[in-house]
Amino acid sequence: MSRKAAALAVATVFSVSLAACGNGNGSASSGSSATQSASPSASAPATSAASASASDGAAAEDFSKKYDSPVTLTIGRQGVSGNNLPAPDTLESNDYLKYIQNKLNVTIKYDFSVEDTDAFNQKVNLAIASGNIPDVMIVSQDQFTRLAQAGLLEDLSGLYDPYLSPLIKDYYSSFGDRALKTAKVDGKLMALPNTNIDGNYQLLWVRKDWLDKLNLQVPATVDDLEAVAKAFKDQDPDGNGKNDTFGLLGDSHLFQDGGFFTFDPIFNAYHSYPDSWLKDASGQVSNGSIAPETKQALGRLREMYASGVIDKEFLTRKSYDDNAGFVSSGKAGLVLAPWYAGWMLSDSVKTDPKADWVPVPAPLDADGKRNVIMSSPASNFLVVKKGVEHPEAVLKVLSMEYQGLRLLDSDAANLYKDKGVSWLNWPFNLQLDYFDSVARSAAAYKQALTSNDTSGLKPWQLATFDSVKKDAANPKQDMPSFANSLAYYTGGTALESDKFNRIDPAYTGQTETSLKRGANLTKLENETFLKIITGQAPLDDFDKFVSQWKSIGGDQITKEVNDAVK
Amino acid sequence: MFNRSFVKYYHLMLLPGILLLILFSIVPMFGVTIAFEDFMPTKGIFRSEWVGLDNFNYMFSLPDSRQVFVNTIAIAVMKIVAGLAVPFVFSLLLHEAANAKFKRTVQTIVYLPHFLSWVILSGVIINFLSLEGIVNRLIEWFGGNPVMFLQSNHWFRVVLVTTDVWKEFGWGTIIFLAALTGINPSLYEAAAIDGANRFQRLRFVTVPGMVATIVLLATLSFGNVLNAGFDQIFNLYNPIVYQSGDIIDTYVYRAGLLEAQYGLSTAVGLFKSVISFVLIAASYGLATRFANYRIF
Repeated sequence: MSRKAAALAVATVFSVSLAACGNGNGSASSGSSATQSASPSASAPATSAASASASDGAAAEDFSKKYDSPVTLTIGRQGVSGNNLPAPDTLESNDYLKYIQNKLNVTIKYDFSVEDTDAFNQKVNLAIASGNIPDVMIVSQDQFTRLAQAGLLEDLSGLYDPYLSPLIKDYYSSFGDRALKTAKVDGKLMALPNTNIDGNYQLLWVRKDWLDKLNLQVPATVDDLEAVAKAFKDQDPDGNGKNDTFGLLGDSHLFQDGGFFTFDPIFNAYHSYPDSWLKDASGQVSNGSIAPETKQALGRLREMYASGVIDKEFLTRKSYDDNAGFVSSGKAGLVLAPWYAGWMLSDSVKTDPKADWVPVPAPLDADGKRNVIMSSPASNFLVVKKGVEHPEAVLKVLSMEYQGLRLLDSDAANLYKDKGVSWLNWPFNLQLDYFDSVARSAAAYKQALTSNDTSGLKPWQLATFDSVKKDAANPKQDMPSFANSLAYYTGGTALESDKFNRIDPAYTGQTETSLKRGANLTKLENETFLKIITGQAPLDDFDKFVSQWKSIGGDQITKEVNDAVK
Repeated sequence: MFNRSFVKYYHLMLLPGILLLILFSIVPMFGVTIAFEDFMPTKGIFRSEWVGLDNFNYMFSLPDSRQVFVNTIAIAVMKIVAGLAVPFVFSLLLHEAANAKFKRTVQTIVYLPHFLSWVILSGVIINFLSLEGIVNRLIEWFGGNPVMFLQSNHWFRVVLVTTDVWKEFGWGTIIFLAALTGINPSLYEAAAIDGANRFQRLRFVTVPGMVATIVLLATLSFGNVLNAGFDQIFNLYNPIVYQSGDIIDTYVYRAGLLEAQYGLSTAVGLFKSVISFVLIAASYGLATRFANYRIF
């Protein structure tokens, strides 16, 4: 007991001195080492508790148990811009908060809520610097790191199992340990991360009606893709007698997580992952931008551009708007975009009712796999101030919030029913879902559709299923239903494919040098790659790019990333 | 001539302008300290780390910075030269036109694009210059091969200068026309009596009468050598023409606002301002000397 108290005191002293110093680099490192050395004795029992299985259903204490005497939690979080709560309700006083209060006897009091992202970050940074933070905050990755280093956070390791609902534990365990790992510091759970669901990578969306018209097969490889694009461009698939259709649309970004019209799938088919940090055979982490595979992929894109298969003017398109215009006016039949492009693609049916978009996991590599890089599993963190009287109340509120949000508790079903109120008005704006949420729901819709039985659906899936059902009965008649169905159902089903080879990048953050020099590296890369693809520079300029990239900061960043991964 | 109470009202009328100047031009000057700091918005100007000339060192070590300065000066000089020559010739031609109605109509039409913003014009220009655009259709009609003007480092500067001149020469024409009306008509009459034909009158009366205006405009535009036109380039360029079209202002915009390299972009901006200041001072000196132009 006395040792624990002493360790706490040491940590507190350091966190106070850290807060006082503000910007000294030296004090930051000494602060973190102090918490490190102080921590094992302080939380040894808690760590062992956390290692118990997360999906263990039998909770020691029910997450929904009401407190006898009222508990108050102060909170600081980002506000809701353009909030549509019916008057006189506000973010600080609404039925969701009352629901939590009724269920748990926990009152949420807003210390601050700021709508503008920059202003909010400033507010949080100020709070961190002063050491005076609310009981609960939802913060960014680097704010979380600084809070943890300053020793301002409560260790949640021991509370995870007894106080979190099975639903949320299920969400986390669907990520393996990838999600929770992001919130662990020295093996201790110092925050609850949000979960970024799977599916940000691009599918190949093809107009099936055009394929049929030209007697073509659904493309699988890069060669197929090129052949289909050529046919779509030259053989007048829309049958208007004019040479006005595109092969493959493109975007000057070339590659981007969740990008529309970007060429990621073509790079990935050559095992090239530009801008991603991956471990190579020797265990070293290196950047995919300078890998020899990237040169191969660029060479292929260069050929495709030269032969006119890729839109010759993709560089001067005002990225999204122009391309989306070609899609909706029925001039393009090949689009590389994520599952949620369904909403955009549905527009083309207005001009051509025959338009039939099919998403496929393509192009495939030599082994028949569609390689994809997974997005970082978490980006926001729910943190609890150290020394809060009832830290478990935070987990209970989050659990109850999701019971209500996912309509598992019938008492919550009537809160703002059919008002379209943003879920962000719940106290904790921490988005949680299954890793494979989209594919999982799509499978459930399919099951319910074929068996005509909705009993297998979860309450939160019913609204979307209505759209799917409506569209299945009368295809393409009701536009909102069709759009929902094309994204959630058609697009979602494609994510189930076993052709996907999901690759976990070794590192996703920013290092000191990449923050400072990264922009210039990106510029060099973008400029070089675009010149190579459009034929304004020879393919061998790639080798020059590699050495230049290394010398103006790339080598330094690689070193820092390798240090961070160790 | 001035009694005291009169001066007081003049000063009062000046006050709003002075206040705006202090608020928006003098106060922000303290922000240039960011150029010497490793600036973090959360720490603010006063608490960010002081790094001396680090940002300037890095600026000169970047492979881009040379290119950006060269582009800026090349584009600006081309624009200044063309922006003086075209309106000068055009105003001479227009001045010779006999029909006053025709003159006024033409003047209004060429003046119109001046009032359109580059955001709108860029859309029009991109359309005109696209592969299916009117320009390439014409080239094909004459048997040429289509050119991708906006993706070619060869053509991009030409496009910039041409479209800028097209947009602004109507405005310049007005100044030259004003100078033309300032030439004493008796000189023309005298020249005509002496037997000078139209071309000779142009050569020996009009042009000498315009020299002062041309010299004045040319020297004053010196101060603008580092302003190559952010709006225009920002709306027309793409990564592939950075090589020929990226200028200081677009670079500062990308580095500072998009990539949050506040220290670096302020350093570049400050560097530009210092050079601009020297050039403006020099051009004022030249203007005083050659054209007898004085502000003070």
